[in-house]
Amino acid sequence: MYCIQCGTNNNDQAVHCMQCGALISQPGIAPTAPPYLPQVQPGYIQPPMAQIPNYMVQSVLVTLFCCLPLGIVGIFKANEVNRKVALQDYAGAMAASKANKTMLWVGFGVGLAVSLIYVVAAIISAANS
Amino acid sequence: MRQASHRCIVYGSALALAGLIVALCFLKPGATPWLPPCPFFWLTGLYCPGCGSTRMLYFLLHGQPWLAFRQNPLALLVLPVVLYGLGRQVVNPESTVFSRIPPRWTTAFLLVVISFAVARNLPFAPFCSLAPGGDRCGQQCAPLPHHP
Repeated sequence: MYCIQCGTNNNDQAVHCMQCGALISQPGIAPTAPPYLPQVQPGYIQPPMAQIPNYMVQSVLVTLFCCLPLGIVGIFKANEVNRKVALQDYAGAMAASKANKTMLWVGFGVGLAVSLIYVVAAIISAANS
Repeated sequence: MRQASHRCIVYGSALALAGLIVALCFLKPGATPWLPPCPFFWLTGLYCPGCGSTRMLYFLLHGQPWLAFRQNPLALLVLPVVLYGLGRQVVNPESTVFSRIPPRWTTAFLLVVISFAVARNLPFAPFCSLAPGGDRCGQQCAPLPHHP
């Protein structure tokens, strides 16, 4: 009996698919041939679904403590990750997650650089006065 | 296993926040060169959604929650959620906090942040009470000497 979820050929007495765990013993829904070719290759580890970090926390931290435009973009990107996870577009969510990660590095960098410039300038002016 | 850059961001942001909290136990924003002003305010003269959050933390750490609230109400309300999310990420960097909450909530949050940024720059009541300090309604809403 073939699983309707992933196409794996299971034992005829099986209640659940041994590959994906889907319920396959219900009468009427278990087809005798795979509805489509199995997409999961043996040995291929499926990407953990919805385990894609959106970096919302870090985006909020950049918004609050570094500089505005990048933090807002970060929250927007985190929102995009959530939208794409909800739509099961995991590749798109992964891309948004990566973009947000890059953006956060820039945000932390700009915040740190401006802070350092300010601190150095403040100390120099204090030393001169 | 995620990339090293992922763990760098998780631990880096947690350390940065912890460092800021420790620094605020000893330093007073506005009275030290070690705490720089908000770069956005410095460049544009406009309040960003984060303006006042350092002072907010300062007053919170020194037991004055109402003063903290008036520096940056949004930051004070968001802080517990941020601490919770950061804590979960530090305990388990593989965990993906907030990735699976419905996108309408994150969209709503984005809109709240943007509206807050706009509202606190409006120079009339009741919006000017959202500006850092929050006590300038009735007076003119002119920028005060500023620190984030």
